[in-house]
Amino acid sequence: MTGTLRRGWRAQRAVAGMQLKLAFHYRTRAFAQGIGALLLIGLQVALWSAVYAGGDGQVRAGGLTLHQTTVYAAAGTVWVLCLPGLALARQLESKIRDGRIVSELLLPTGFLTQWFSAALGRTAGVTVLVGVPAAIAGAAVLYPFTLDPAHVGRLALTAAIAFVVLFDFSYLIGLSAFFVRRVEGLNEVREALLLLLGGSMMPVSLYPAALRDAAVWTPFVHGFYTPLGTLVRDPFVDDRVVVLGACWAVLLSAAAALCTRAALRRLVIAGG
Amino acid sequence: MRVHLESVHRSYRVRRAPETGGRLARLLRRVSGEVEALRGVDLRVDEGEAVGYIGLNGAGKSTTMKLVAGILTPTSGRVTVDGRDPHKERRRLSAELGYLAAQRASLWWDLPVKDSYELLRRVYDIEPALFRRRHDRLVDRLGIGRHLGTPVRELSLGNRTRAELVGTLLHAPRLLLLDEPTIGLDIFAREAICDVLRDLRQDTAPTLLMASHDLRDVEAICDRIVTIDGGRLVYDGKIDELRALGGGRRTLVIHHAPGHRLPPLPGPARSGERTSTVTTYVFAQGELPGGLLTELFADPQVDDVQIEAPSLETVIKGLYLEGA
Repeated sequence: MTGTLRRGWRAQRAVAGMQLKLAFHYRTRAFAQGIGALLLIGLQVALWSAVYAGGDGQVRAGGLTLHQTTVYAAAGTVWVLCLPGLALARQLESKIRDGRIVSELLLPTGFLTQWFSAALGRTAGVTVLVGVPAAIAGAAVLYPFTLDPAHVGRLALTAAIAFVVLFDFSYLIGLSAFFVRRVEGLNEVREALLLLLGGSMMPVSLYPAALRDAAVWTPFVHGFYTPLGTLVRDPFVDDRVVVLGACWAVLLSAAAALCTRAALRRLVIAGG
Repeated sequence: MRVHLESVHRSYRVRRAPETGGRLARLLRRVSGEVEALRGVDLRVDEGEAVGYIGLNGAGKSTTMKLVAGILTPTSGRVTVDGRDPHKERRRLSAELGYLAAQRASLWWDLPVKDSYELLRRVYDIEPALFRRRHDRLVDRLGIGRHLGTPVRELSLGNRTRAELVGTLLHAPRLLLLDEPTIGLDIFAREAICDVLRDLRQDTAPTLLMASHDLRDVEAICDRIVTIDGGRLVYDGKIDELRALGGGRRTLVIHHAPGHRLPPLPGPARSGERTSTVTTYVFAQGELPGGLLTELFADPQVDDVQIEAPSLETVIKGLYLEGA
Protein backbone atom coordinates (compact mmCIF):
# COMPACT_ATOMS: atom_id res chain seq x y z
CA MET A 1 0.00 0.00 0.00
CA THR A 2 2.79 2.39 0.97
CA GLY A 3 4.62 1.44 -2.22
CA THR A 4 1.53 2.19 -4.32
CA LEU A 5 1.08 5.54 -2.62
CA ARG A 6 4.74 6.37 -3.09
CA ARG A 7 4.56 5.46 -6.79
CA GLY A 8 1.39 7.54 -7.15
CA TRP A 9 3.03 10.49 -5.43
CA ARG A 10 6.09 10.22 -7.69
CA ALA A 11 3.89 10.07 -10.77
CA GLN A 12 1.95 13.17 -9.72
CA ARG A 13 5.19 14.98 -8.97
CA ALA A 14 6.46 14.05 -12.42
CA VAL A 15 3.30 15.43 -14.06
CA ALA A 16 3.62 18.67 -12.07
CA GLY A 17 7.31 18.86 -13.01
CA MET A 18 6.47 18.50 -16.68
CA GLN A 19 4.00 21.38 -16.49
CA LEU A 20 6.60 23.47 -14.67
CA LYS A 21 8.94 22.77 -17.55
CA LEU A 22 6.23 23.67 -20.04
CA ALA A 23 5.58 26.95 -18.21
CA PHE A 24 9.25 27.84 -18.76
CA HIS A 25 8.97 26.66 -22.35
CA TYR A 26 6.15 29.18 -22.86
CA ARG A 27 8.00 31.91 -20.94
CA THR A 28 7.49 34.52 -23.66
CA ARG A 29 3.75 34.23 -23.16
CA ALA A 30 4.16 34.53 -19.39
CA PHE A 31 6.38 37.60 -19.73
CA ALA A 32 3.92 39.20 -22.16
CA GLN A 33 1.10 38.53 -19.70
CA GLY A 34 3.28 39.99 -16.94
CA ILE A 35 3.75 43.21 -18.92
CA GLY A 36 0.00 43.34 -19.53
CA ALA A 37 -0.55 42.88 -15.80
CA LEU A 38 1.84 45.77 -15.02
CA LEU A 39 -0.15 48.08 -17.28
CA LEU A 40 -3.37 46.95 -15.64
CA ILE A 41 -1.90 47.54 -12.17
CA GLY A 42 -0.92 51.07 -13.21
CA LEU A 43 -4.48 51.70 -14.35
CA GLN A 44 -5.95 50.34 -11.13
CA VAL A 45 -3.64 52.43 -8.97
CA ALA A 46 -4.78 55.52 -10.89
CA LEU A 47 -8.45 54.55 -10.52
CA TRP A 48 -8.26 53.81 -6.80
CA SER A 49 -6.26 57.01 -6.21
CA ALA A 50 -9.12 58.90 -7.86
CA VAL A 51 -11.67 57.08 -5.69
CA TYR A 52 -9.76 57.96 -2.51
CA ALA A 53 -8.84 61.47 -3.77
CA GLY A 54 -9.01 64.22 -1.19
CA GLY A 55 -8.26 61.96 1.75
CA ASP A 56 -5.15 62.18 3.89
CA GLY A 57 -4.14 58.58 3.27
CA GLN A 58 -5.94 57.31 6.35
CA VAL A 59 -9.44 57.42 4.81
CA ARG A 60 -11.01 53.99 4.88
CA ALA A 61 -13.54 52.50 2.51
CA GLY A 62 -14.99 49.18 3.64
CA GLY A 63 -12.35 49.12 6.34
CA LEU A 64 -9.48 49.47 3.86
CA THR A 65 -7.11 52.36 3.21
CA LEU A 66 -5.96 53.42 -0.27
CA HIS A 67 -2.69 51.60 0.34
CA GLN A 68 -4.49 48.35 1.25
CA THR A 69 -6.88 48.62 -1.68
CA THR A 70 -4.14 49.24 -4.26
CA VAL A 71 -2.07 46.36 -2.88
CA TYR A 72 -5.20 44.19 -3.11
CA ALA A 73 -5.78 45.23 -6.72
CA ALA A 74 -2.14 44.77 -7.75
CA ALA A 75 -1.85 41.37 -6.08
CA GLY A 76 -5.20 40.34 -7.57
CA THR A 77 -4.00 41.15 -11.07
CA VAL A 78 -0.97 38.90 -10.66
CA TRP A 79 -3.09 36.30 -8.84
CA VAL A 80 -5.33 35.92 -11.92
CA LEU A 81 -2.26 35.13 -14.04
CA CYS A 82 -0.81 32.54 -11.71
CA LEU A 83 -3.81 30.52 -10.59
CA PRO A 84 -5.90 28.08 -12.65
CA GLY A 85 -8.34 29.91 -14.86
CA LEU A 86 -9.95 29.96 -18.25
CA ALA A 87 -6.98 28.31 -19.95
CA LEU A 88 -7.41 25.11 -17.94
CA ALA A 89 -11.09 24.82 -18.82
CA ARG A 90 -10.38 25.48 -22.51
CA GLN A 91 -7.53 22.98 -22.58
CA LEU A 92 -9.63 20.27 -20.98
CA GLU A 93 -12.52 20.98 -23.34
CA SER A 94 -10.36 20.77 -26.45
CA LYS A 95 -8.74 17.52 -25.27
CA ILE A 96 -12.16 16.00 -24.69
CA ARG A 97 -13.36 17.20 -28.10
CA ASP A 98 -10.44 15.98 -30.20
CA GLY A 99 -9.75 12.79 -28.25
CA ARG A 100 -6.32 13.73 -26.86
CA ILE A 101 -7.79 12.88 -23.49
CA VAL A 102 -6.88 9.28 -24.38
CA SER A 103 -3.20 9.92 -23.75
CA GLU A 104 -3.98 11.07 -20.22
CA LEU A 105 -6.31 8.20 -19.50
CA LEU A 106 -3.55 5.80 -20.47
CA LEU A 107 -1.19 6.99 -17.76
CA PRO A 108 -1.27 5.07 -14.47
CA THR A 109 -2.55 8.09 -12.57
CA GLY A 110 -6.02 9.30 -11.63
CA PHE A 111 -7.50 11.67 -14.17
CA LEU A 112 -8.57 14.35 -11.68
CA THR A 113 -5.34 14.15 -9.69
CA GLN A 114 -3.34 14.31 -12.91
CA TRP A 115 -5.04 17.57 -13.88
CA PHE A 116 -4.62 18.86 -10.36
CA SER A 117 -0.89 18.15 -10.43
CA ALA A 118 -0.59 19.69 -13.89
CA ALA A 119 -2.37 22.84 -12.65
CA LEU A 120 -0.07 22.93 -9.63
CA GLY A 121 3.00 22.66 -11.87
CA ARG A 122 1.77 25.38 -14.17
CA THR A 123 0.94 27.66 -11.25
CA ALA A 124 4.39 27.07 -9.81
CA GLY A 125 6.00 27.89 -13.17
CA VAL A 126 4.04 31.07 -13.77
CA THR A 127 4.53 32.11 -10.16
CA VAL A 128 8.30 31.79 -10.55
CA LEU A 129 8.23 33.67 -13.85
CA VAL A 130 5.73 36.40 -13.02
CA GLY A 131 4.45 36.12 -9.45
CA VAL A 132 7.80 36.15 -7.62
CA PRO A 133 9.26 39.11 -9.61
CA ALA A 134 5.96 40.96 -9.06
CA ALA A 135 6.04 40.16 -5.34
CA ILE A 136 9.66 41.35 -5.05
CA ALA A 137 8.84 44.55 -6.93
CA GLY A 138 5.73 45.07 -4.80
CA ALA A 139 7.64 44.42 -1.58
CA ALA A 140 10.32 46.95 -2.61
CA VAL A 141 7.62 49.58 -3.12
CA LEU A 142 5.86 48.75 0.14
CA TYR A 143 9.03 48.48 2.28
CA PRO A 144 9.07 48.67 5.27
CA PHE A 145 6.26 46.26 6.06
CA THR A 146 5.54 43.80 8.84
CA LEU A 147 5.26 40.07 8.15
CA ASP A 148 4.74 37.80 11.13
CA PRO A 149 4.73 33.98 10.88
CA ALA A 150 1.04 33.72 11.83
CA HIS A 151 0.12 36.02 8.97
CA VAL A 152 2.31 34.08 6.53
CA GLY A 153 0.72 30.82 7.66
CA ARG A 154 -2.77 32.21 7.24
CA LEU A 155 -1.84 33.57 3.83
CA ALA A 156 -0.49 30.17 2.76
CA LEU A 157 -3.67 28.44 3.96
CA THR A 158 -6.03 30.83 2.16
CA ALA A 159 -3.86 30.68 -0.97
CA ALA A 160 -4.07 26.88 -0.93
CA ILE A 161 -7.86 27.05 -0.51
CA ALA A 162 -8.04 29.56 -3.38
CA PHE A 163 -5.98 27.29 -5.61
CA VAL A 164 -8.28 24.32 -4.94
CA VAL A 165 -11.47 26.38 -5.43
CA LEU A 166 -10.28 27.98 -8.67
CA PHE A 167 -8.96 24.67 -9.97
CA ASP A 168 -12.25 22.92 -9.22
CA PHE A 169 -14.26 25.66 -10.97
CA SER A 170 -12.13 25.49 -14.10
CA TYR A 171 -11.95 21.72 -14.08
CA LEU A 172 -15.72 21.31 -13.68
CA ILE A 173 -16.36 23.74 -16.51
CA GLY A 174 -13.84 21.96 -18.75
CA LEU A 175 -15.39 18.62 -17.86
CA SER A 176 -18.83 19.88 -18.82
CA ALA A 177 -17.67 19.42 -22.43
CA PHE A 178 -18.97 15.88 -21.91
CA PHE A 179 -22.47 17.24 -21.43
CA VAL A 180 -22.71 20.48 -23.44
CA ARG A 181 -21.56 21.36 -26.92
CA ARG A 182 -19.44 24.43 -26.03
CA VAL A 183 -18.21 25.40 -22.58
CA GLU A 184 -17.44 28.99 -23.59
CA GLY A 185 -20.75 30.27 -22.16
CA LEU A 186 -20.14 28.59 -18.80
CA ASN A 187 -16.65 30.07 -18.73
CA GLU A 188 -18.10 33.54 -19.19
CA VAL A 189 -20.61 32.98 -16.39
CA ARG A 190 -17.74 31.84 -14.16
CA GLU A 191 -15.76 34.98 -14.99
CA ALA A 192 -18.75 37.21 -14.31
CA LEU A 193 -19.42 35.54 -10.97
CA LEU A 194 -15.78 35.81 -9.94
CA LEU A 195 -15.83 39.44 -10.95
CA LEU A 196 -19.05 40.21 -9.15
CA LEU A 197 -18.93 37.98 -6.09
CA GLY A 198 -15.35 36.79 -5.98
CA GLY A 199 -13.66 40.12 -5.44
CA SER A 200 -11.41 39.82 -8.45
CA MET A 201 -12.22 43.42 -9.38
CA MET A 202 -12.36 45.02 -5.93
CA PRO A 203 -12.45 43.90 -2.30
CA VAL A 204 -15.81 42.45 -1.31
CA SER A 205 -15.64 44.53 1.89
CA LEU A 206 -16.38 47.58 -0.27
CA TYR A 207 -19.79 46.16 -1.20
CA PRO A 208 -22.98 47.13 0.62
CA ALA A 209 -23.19 45.16 3.88
CA ALA A 210 -26.02 42.84 2.76
CA LEU A 211 -24.30 41.86 -0.47
CA ARG A 212 -20.95 41.44 1.27
CA ASP A 213 -22.46 39.21 3.95
CA ALA A 214 -24.18 37.09 1.33
CA ALA A 215 -21.08 36.88 -0.89
CA VAL A 216 -18.89 35.23 1.74
CA TRP A 217 -21.27 32.26 1.78
CA THR A 218 -20.64 31.63 -1.93
CA PRO A 219 -17.56 29.74 -3.11
CA PHE A 220 -16.48 32.55 -5.43
CA VAL A 221 -14.97 34.80 -2.75
CA HIS A 222 -12.54 32.10 -1.73
CA GLY A 223 -10.70 32.20 -5.05
CA PHE A 224 -9.75 35.87 -4.71
CA TYR A 225 -11.14 37.84 -1.83
CA THR A 226 -10.20 35.51 1.04
CA PRO A 227 -6.46 35.22 0.22
CA LEU A 228 -6.08 38.78 -1.05
CA GLY A 229 -8.02 40.13 1.90
CA THR A 230 -5.73 38.12 4.16
CA LEU A 231 -2.73 39.63 2.38
CA VAL A 232 -3.87 43.19 3.05
CA ARG A 233 -5.27 42.30 6.52
CA ASP A 234 -8.84 43.10 5.60
CA PRO A 235 -10.68 42.99 8.95
CA PHE A 236 -13.68 41.31 7.33
CA VAL A 237 -11.65 38.18 6.45
CA ASP A 238 -11.90 36.43 9.78
CA ASP A 239 -11.69 32.78 10.83
CA ARG A 240 -15.33 32.18 9.88
CA VAL A 241 -14.61 33.19 6.27
CA VAL A 242 -11.50 30.98 6.11
CA VAL A 243 -13.41 27.96 7.47
CA LEU A 244 -16.17 28.57 4.91
CA GLY A 245 -13.52 28.60 2.19
CA ALA A 246 -12.09 25.29 3.40
CA CYS A 247 -15.58 23.76 3.35
CA TRP A 248 -16.15 24.94 -0.20
CA ALA A 249 -12.77 23.54 -1.26
CA VAL A 250 -13.73 20.12 0.11
CA LEU A 251 -17.23 20.23 -1.41
CA LEU A 252 -16.05 21.33 -4.84
CA SER A 253 -13.31 18.70 -4.86
CA ALA A 254 -15.88 16.02 -4.04
CA ALA A 255 -18.10 17.34 -6.84
CA ALA A 256 -15.13 17.26 -9.24
CA ALA A 257 -14.39 13.64 -8.32
CA LEU A 258 -18.04 12.59 -8.78
CA CYS A 259 -18.34 14.43 -12.10
CA THR A 260 -15.11 12.84 -13.35
CA ARG A 261 -16.56 9.41 -12.63
CA ALA A 262 -19.81 10.20 -14.41
CA ALA A 263 -18.19 12.01 -17.31
CA LEU A 264 -15.63 9.35 -18.18
CA ARG A 265 -18.41 6.84 -18.61
CA ARG A 266 -19.85 9.10 -21.31
CA LEU A 267 -16.61 9.27 -23.22
CA VAL A 268 -16.98 8.80 -26.95
CA ILE A 269 -13.96 8.95 -29.17
CA ALA A 270 -14.70 8.46 -32.81
CA GLY A 271 -12.22 8.13 -35.63
CA GLY A 272 -9.18 6.13 -34.59
CA MET B 1 -2.33 -10.89 -20.21
CA ARG B 2 -5.59 -12.46 -21.32
CA VAL B 3 -8.21 -10.35 -23.04
CA HIS B 4 -11.82 -11.44 -23.15
CA LEU B 5 -14.81 -9.75 -24.73
CA GLU B 6 -18.21 -11.38 -24.25
CA SER B 7 -21.19 -10.21 -26.34
CA VAL B 8 -19.90 -6.67 -26.24
CA HIS B 9 -22.14 -3.96 -27.59
CA ARG B 10 -21.10 -0.36 -27.68
CA SER B 11 -23.35 2.37 -28.96
CA TYR B 12 -23.36 6.12 -28.58
CA ARG B 13 -25.75 8.92 -29.23
CA VAL B 14 -25.19 11.48 -31.93
CA ARG B 15 -27.07 14.72 -32.35
CA ARG B 16 -28.28 15.77 -35.74
CA ALA B 17 -30.10 18.79 -37.11
CA PRO B 18 -33.75 17.86 -37.59
CA GLU B 19 -34.73 17.50 -41.21
CA THR B 20 -38.38 18.33 -40.75
CA GLY B 21 -40.30 21.22 -39.23
CA GLY B 22 -40.12 24.97 -39.58
CA ARG B 23 -37.01 27.08 -39.18
CA LEU B 24 -37.71 27.92 -35.56
CA ALA B 25 -38.56 24.34 -34.71
CA ARG B 26 -35.34 23.15 -36.36
CA LEU B 27 -33.38 25.70 -34.36
CA LEU B 28 -34.85 24.65 -31.04
CA ARG B 29 -35.49 20.96 -31.52
CA ARG B 30 -32.77 18.39 -30.99
CA VAL B 31 -32.78 15.10 -32.79
CA SER B 32 -30.52 12.38 -31.58
CA GLY B 33 -29.82 9.00 -32.99
CA GLU B 34 -27.85 6.00 -31.86
CA VAL B 35 -24.79 4.67 -33.60
CA GLU B 36 -23.84 1.08 -32.90
CA ALA B 37 -20.08 0.79 -33.02
CA LEU B 38 -19.95 -2.82 -31.79
CA ARG B 39 -22.79 -5.33 -32.09
CA GLY B 40 -22.10 -8.34 -29.94
CA VAL B 41 -18.37 -8.93 -30.24
CA ASP B 42 -16.97 -12.12 -28.73
CA LEU B 43 -13.21 -12.27 -28.68
CA ARG B 44 -10.63 -14.08 -26.64
CA VAL B 45 -6.92 -13.31 -26.85
CA ASP B 46 -4.65 -15.55 -24.82
CA GLU B 47 -1.47 -14.64 -23.00
CA GLY B 48 1.36 -13.95 -25.44
CA GLU B 49 -0.85 -14.23 -28.52
CA ALA B 50 -0.52 -11.72 -31.37
CA VAL B 51 -3.76 -10.90 -33.13
CA GLY B 52 -4.19 -8.76 -36.22
CA TYR B 53 -7.44 -6.83 -36.09
CA ILE B 54 -8.66 -5.99 -39.55
CA GLY B 55 -11.58 -3.90 -40.63
CA LEU B 56 -12.73 -1.09 -42.85
CA ASN B 57 -12.86 2.49 -41.60
CA GLY B 58 -15.53 2.79 -38.91
CA ALA B 59 -15.79 -0.98 -38.48
CA GLY B 60 -15.19 -0.77 -34.72
CA LYS B 61 -11.47 -1.58 -34.43
CA SER B 62 -10.45 1.46 -32.40
CA THR B 63 -13.55 1.18 -30.22
CA THR B 64 -12.56 -2.38 -29.34
CA MET B 65 -9.04 -1.23 -28.51
CA LYS B 66 -10.31 1.52 -26.23
CA LEU B 67 -12.67 -0.86 -24.48
CA VAL B 68 -9.79 -3.21 -23.80
CA ALA B 69 -7.68 -0.29 -22.55
CA GLY B 70 -10.47 0.70 -20.16
CA ILE B 71 -10.92 4.11 -21.74
CA LEU B 72 -14.45 3.31 -22.91
CA THR B 73 -17.09 1.19 -21.25
CA PRO B 74 -19.33 -1.28 -23.08
CA THR B 75 -23.03 -0.47 -23.43
CA SER B 76 -23.68 -4.12 -22.70
CA GLY B 77 -21.60 -7.27 -22.48
CA ARG B 78 -18.38 -7.77 -20.60
CA VAL B 79 -14.76 -6.86 -21.19
CA THR B 80 -12.06 -8.30 -18.98
CA VAL B 81 -8.29 -8.21 -18.97
CA ASP B 82 -6.81 -10.95 -16.82
CA GLY B 83 -10.29 -11.40 -15.39
CA ARG B 84 -10.59 -7.76 -14.30
CA ASP B 85 -12.75 -4.91 -15.55
CA PRO B 86 -10.29 -2.62 -17.38
CA HIS B 87 -12.40 0.52 -16.86
CA LYS B 88 -12.70 0.06 -13.11
CA GLU B 89 -9.05 -0.88 -12.79
CA ARG B 90 -7.73 1.51 -15.42
CA ARG B 91 -4.87 2.83 -13.32
CA ARG B 92 -3.60 -0.61 -12.40
CA LEU B 93 -3.96 -1.85 -15.97
CA SER B 94 -2.24 1.23 -17.42
CA ALA B 95 0.99 0.25 -15.71
CA GLU B 96 1.06 -2.94 -17.80
CA LEU B 97 -0.49 -1.59 -20.96
CA GLY B 98 1.13 -0.06 -24.01
CA TYR B 99 -1.20 1.73 -26.40
CA LEU B 100 0.00 3.23 -29.64
CA ALA B 101 -2.44 5.08 -31.85
CA ALA B 102 -0.33 6.43 -34.65
CA GLN B 103 -2.89 9.07 -35.51
CA ARG B 104 -2.68 10.65 -32.06
CA ALA B 105 0.43 12.01 -30.42
CA SER B 106 0.85 10.90 -26.84
CA LEU B 107 4.27 12.46 -26.35
CA TRP B 108 4.34 16.11 -25.29
CA TRP B 109 4.03 18.06 -28.49
CA ASP B 110 6.17 21.10 -27.69
CA LEU B 111 8.91 19.43 -25.70
CA PRO B 112 11.95 17.44 -26.87
CA VAL B 113 11.35 13.71 -27.19
CA LYS B 114 13.78 12.92 -24.36
CA ASP B 115 11.74 15.03 -21.91
CA SER B 116 8.67 12.96 -22.63
CA TYR B 117 10.64 9.76 -22.06
CA GLU B 118 11.93 11.10 -18.76
CA LEU B 119 8.38 11.89 -17.68
CA LEU B 120 7.29 8.38 -18.65
CA ARG B 121 10.17 6.94 -16.62
CA ARG B 122 8.96 8.79 -13.56
CA VAL B 123 5.27 8.13 -14.11
CA TYR B 124 5.83 4.40 -14.61
CA ASP B 125 8.44 4.37 -11.86
CA ILE B 126 11.08 2.62 -13.95
CA GLU B 127 14.39 2.02 -12.23
CA PRO B 128 16.95 4.39 -13.88
CA ALA B 129 19.49 1.74 -14.97
CA LEU B 130 16.75 -0.47 -16.44
CA PHE B 131 15.21 2.54 -18.14
CA ARG B 132 18.56 3.49 -19.66
CA ARG B 133 19.07 -0.03 -21.04
CA ARG B 134 15.60 -0.24 -22.58
CA HIS B 135 15.77 3.31 -23.84
CA ASP B 136 19.15 2.88 -25.52
CA ARG B 137 18.16 -0.42 -27.14
CA LEU B 138 14.86 0.89 -28.50
CA VAL B 139 16.28 4.22 -29.64
CA ASP B 140 19.07 2.38 -31.42
CA ARG B 141 16.74 -0.18 -33.04
CA LEU B 142 14.35 2.47 -34.26
CA GLY B 143 17.10 4.88 -35.26
CA ILE B 144 15.80 8.02 -33.56
CA GLY B 145 18.95 8.89 -31.59
CA ARG B 146 19.44 12.06 -33.64
CA HIS B 147 15.95 13.28 -32.83
CA LEU B 148 15.89 12.96 -29.05
CA GLY B 149 16.46 16.68 -28.59
CA THR B 150 13.88 17.67 -31.19
CA PRO B 151 10.40 18.82 -30.11
CA VAL B 152 7.83 16.21 -31.12
CA ARG B 153 5.92 18.67 -33.31
CA GLU B 154 9.00 19.11 -35.52
CA LEU B 155 9.40 15.40 -36.29
CA SER B 156 8.31 13.80 -39.55
CA LEU B 157 5.42 11.34 -39.32
CA GLY B 158 7.81 8.38 -39.58
CA ASN B 159 10.11 9.63 -36.85
CA ARG B 160 7.22 10.65 -34.66
CA THR B 161 5.69 7.18 -34.89
CA ARG B 162 9.07 5.60 -34.09
CA ALA B 163 9.42 7.96 -31.12
CA GLU B 164 5.88 7.13 -29.99
CA LEU B 165 6.67 3.42 -30.20
CA VAL B 166 9.72 3.86 -27.98
CA GLY B 167 7.52 5.71 -25.47
CA THR B 168 4.95 2.93 -25.64
CA LEU B 169 7.49 0.19 -24.97
CA LEU B 170 9.66 1.84 -22.30
CA HIS B 171 7.72 0.34 -19.40
CA ALA B 172 7.76 -3.14 -21.01
CA PRO B 173 3.99 -3.55 -21.24
CA ARG B 174 2.49 -7.03 -21.02
CA LEU B 175 -0.44 -6.02 -23.19
CA LEU B 176 0.23 -4.06 -26.33
CA LEU B 177 -2.56 -2.39 -28.28
CA LEU B 178 -1.43 -0.98 -31.59
CA ASP B 179 -3.93 1.06 -33.55
CA GLU B 180 -2.71 1.32 -37.14
CA PRO B 181 0.91 1.73 -36.10
CA THR B 182 2.27 1.95 -39.63
CA ILE B 183 -0.33 4.13 -41.28
CA GLY B 184 1.18 6.63 -43.70
CA LEU B 185 4.75 5.42 -43.15
CA ASP B 186 7.41 4.79 -45.78
CA ILE B 187 8.84 1.33 -46.25
CA PHE B 188 11.89 1.90 -44.03
CA ALA B 189 9.90 3.20 -41.09
CA ARG B 190 7.40 0.37 -41.50
CA GLU B 191 10.11 -2.25 -41.61
CA ALA B 192 11.86 -0.79 -38.58
CA ILE B 193 8.64 -0.91 -36.57
CA CYS B 194 7.76 -4.43 -37.73
CA ASP B 195 11.27 -5.66 -36.88
CA VAL B 196 11.07 -4.26 -33.36
CA LEU B 197 7.65 -5.79 -32.81
CA ARG B 198 8.77 -9.17 -34.12
CA ASP B 199 11.78 -9.15 -31.80
CA LEU B 200 9.62 -8.06 -28.92
CA ARG B 201 7.39 -11.07 -29.46
CA GLN B 202 10.39 -13.36 -29.29
CA ASP B 203 11.92 -11.67 -26.24
CA THR B 204 9.03 -10.87 -23.91
CA ALA B 205 5.97 -12.19 -25.77
CA PRO B 206 3.45 -9.56 -24.71
CA THR B 207 -0.17 -10.11 -25.67
CA LEU B 208 -0.61 -8.07 -28.80
CA LEU B 209 -3.68 -6.73 -30.56
CA MET B 210 -2.86 -4.82 -33.72
CA ALA B 211 -5.44 -2.98 -35.79
CA SER B 212 -4.22 -2.31 -39.28
CA HIS B 213 -5.26 -1.82 -42.87
CA ASP B 214 -1.92 -3.13 -44.01
CA LEU B 215 -2.05 -6.91 -44.19
CA ARG B 216 1.68 -7.15 -44.82
CA ASP B 217 2.31 -5.88 -41.29
CA VAL B 218 -0.26 -8.21 -39.82
CA GLU B 219 1.28 -11.18 -41.63
CA ALA B 220 4.74 -10.16 -40.47
CA ILE B 221 3.83 -9.89 -36.81
CA CYS B 222 0.66 -11.79 -36.00
CA ASP B 223 -0.34 -15.41 -36.21
CA ARG B 224 -4.06 -14.89 -35.96
CA ILE B 225 -6.44 -12.58 -37.74
CA VAL B 226 -9.75 -11.24 -36.55
CA THR B 227 -11.84 -9.37 -39.06
CA ILE B 228 -14.57 -6.97 -38.05
CA ASP B 229 -17.18 -5.43 -40.27
CA GLY B 230 -20.00 -3.14 -39.20
CA GLY B 231 -19.35 -3.87 -35.53
CA ARG B 232 -19.50 -7.67 -35.94
CA LEU B 233 -16.67 -10.16 -36.19
CA VAL B 234 -16.73 -11.85 -39.58
CA TYR B 235 -13.61 -13.99 -39.26
CA ASP B 236 -11.44 -15.23 -36.44
CA GLY B 237 -8.70 -17.71 -37.19
CA LYS B 238 -5.16 -18.41 -38.33
CA ILE B 239 -3.77 -16.52 -41.30
CA ASP B 240 -3.25 -19.74 -43.25
CA GLU B 241 -6.85 -20.77 -42.64
CA LEU B 242 -8.00 -17.39 -43.85
CA ARG B 243 -6.02 -17.86 -47.03
CA ALA B 244 -7.69 -21.24 -47.50
CA LEU B 245 -11.04 -19.43 -47.41
CA GLY B 246 -10.14 -18.25 -50.88
CA GLY B 247 -11.48 -21.69 -51.86
CA GLY B 248 -8.10 -23.01 -52.95
CA ARG B 249 -8.49 -21.10 -56.19
CA ARG B 250 -5.34 -20.51 -58.18
CA THR B 251 -4.71 -18.31 -61.17
CA LEU B 252 -2.45 -19.37 -64.01
CA VAL B 253 -0.93 -16.31 -65.64
CA ILE B 254 0.79 -16.82 -69.00
CA HIS B 255 2.96 -14.10 -70.51
CA HIS B 256 3.45 -14.66 -74.21
CA ALA B 257 4.35 -13.02 -77.50
CA PRO B 258 1.86 -10.41 -78.74
CA GLY B 259 -1.16 -12.01 -80.36
CA HIS B 260 0.07 -15.55 -79.73
CA ARG B 261 -2.80 -18.01 -79.65
CA LEU B 262 -2.37 -20.57 -76.93
CA PRO B 263 -3.40 -24.15 -77.62
CA PRO B 264 -6.67 -25.11 -75.88
CA LEU B 265 -5.82 -26.05 -72.29
CA PRO B 266 -7.70 -29.02 -70.87
CA GLY B 267 -9.06 -28.29 -67.41
CA PRO B 268 -8.54 -24.66 -66.45
CA ALA B 269 -11.25 -22.20 -67.37
CA ARG B 270 -10.09 -18.97 -68.96
CA SER B 271 -10.78 -16.20 -66.52
CA GLY B 272 -11.65 -13.76 -69.25
CA GLU B 273 -8.72 -11.48 -68.46
CA ARG B 274 -6.69 -11.31 -71.57
CA THR B 275 -4.44 -8.76 -73.18
CA SER B 276 -2.32 -9.21 -76.28
CA THR B 277 0.57 -10.50 -74.16
CA VAL B 278 -1.09 -11.99 -71.04
CA THR B 279 -3.73 -14.70 -70.71
CA THR B 280 -5.05 -15.92 -67.35
CA TYR B 281 -6.86 -19.09 -66.33
CA VAL B 282 -8.52 -19.98 -63.05
CA PHE B 283 -8.38 -23.48 -61.61
CA ALA B 284 -8.89 -25.26 -58.31
CA GLN B 285 -5.75 -26.01 -56.32
CA GLY B 286 -4.33 -29.42 -57.28
CA GLU B 287 -6.37 -29.69 -60.46
CA LEU B 288 -3.83 -28.37 -62.91
CA PRO B 289 -3.41 -31.07 -65.60
CA GLY B 290 -0.08 -32.90 -65.36
CA GLY B 291 2.42 -31.93 -68.01
CA LEU B 292 0.65 -28.65 -68.81
CA LEU B 293 3.39 -26.51 -67.37
CA THR B 294 6.07 -28.48 -69.24
CA GLU B 295 4.10 -27.95 -72.43
CA LEU B 296 3.78 -24.23 -71.82
CA PHE B 297 7.47 -23.79 -71.01
CA ALA B 298 8.33 -25.68 -74.16
CA ASP B 299 6.36 -23.19 -76.25
CA PRO B 300 8.89 -20.69 -77.66
CA GLN B 301 6.17 -18.01 -77.82
CA VAL B 302 5.57 -18.22 -74.05
CA ASP B 303 7.84 -15.95 -72.00
CA ASP B 304 6.74 -16.75 -68.47
CA VAL B 305 4.18 -18.75 -66.54
CA GLN B 306 3.05 -17.91 -62.98
CA ILE B 307 0.67 -19.59 -60.57
CA GLU B 308 -0.84 -17.13 -58.11
CA ALA B 309 -2.76 -17.77 -54.90
CA PRO B 310 -5.40 -15.19 -54.03
CA SER B 311 -3.96 -12.42 -51.87
CA LEU B 312 -5.20 -11.93 -48.33
CA GLU B 313 -6.71 -8.65 -49.48
CA THR B 314 -8.79 -10.53 -52.03
CA VAL B 315 -9.98 -13.03 -49.46
CA ILE B 316 -10.87 -10.34 -46.95
CA LYS B 317 -12.62 -8.31 -49.61
CA GLY B 318 -14.64 -11.43 -50.32
CA LEU B 319 -15.58 -11.66 -46.63
CA TYR B 320 -16.82 -8.07 -46.59
CA LEU B 321 -18.80 -8.59 -49.78
CA GLU B 322 -20.36 -11.75 -48.35
CA GLY B 323 -21.31 -9.81 -45.22
CA ALA B 324 -22.84 -7.04 -47.28
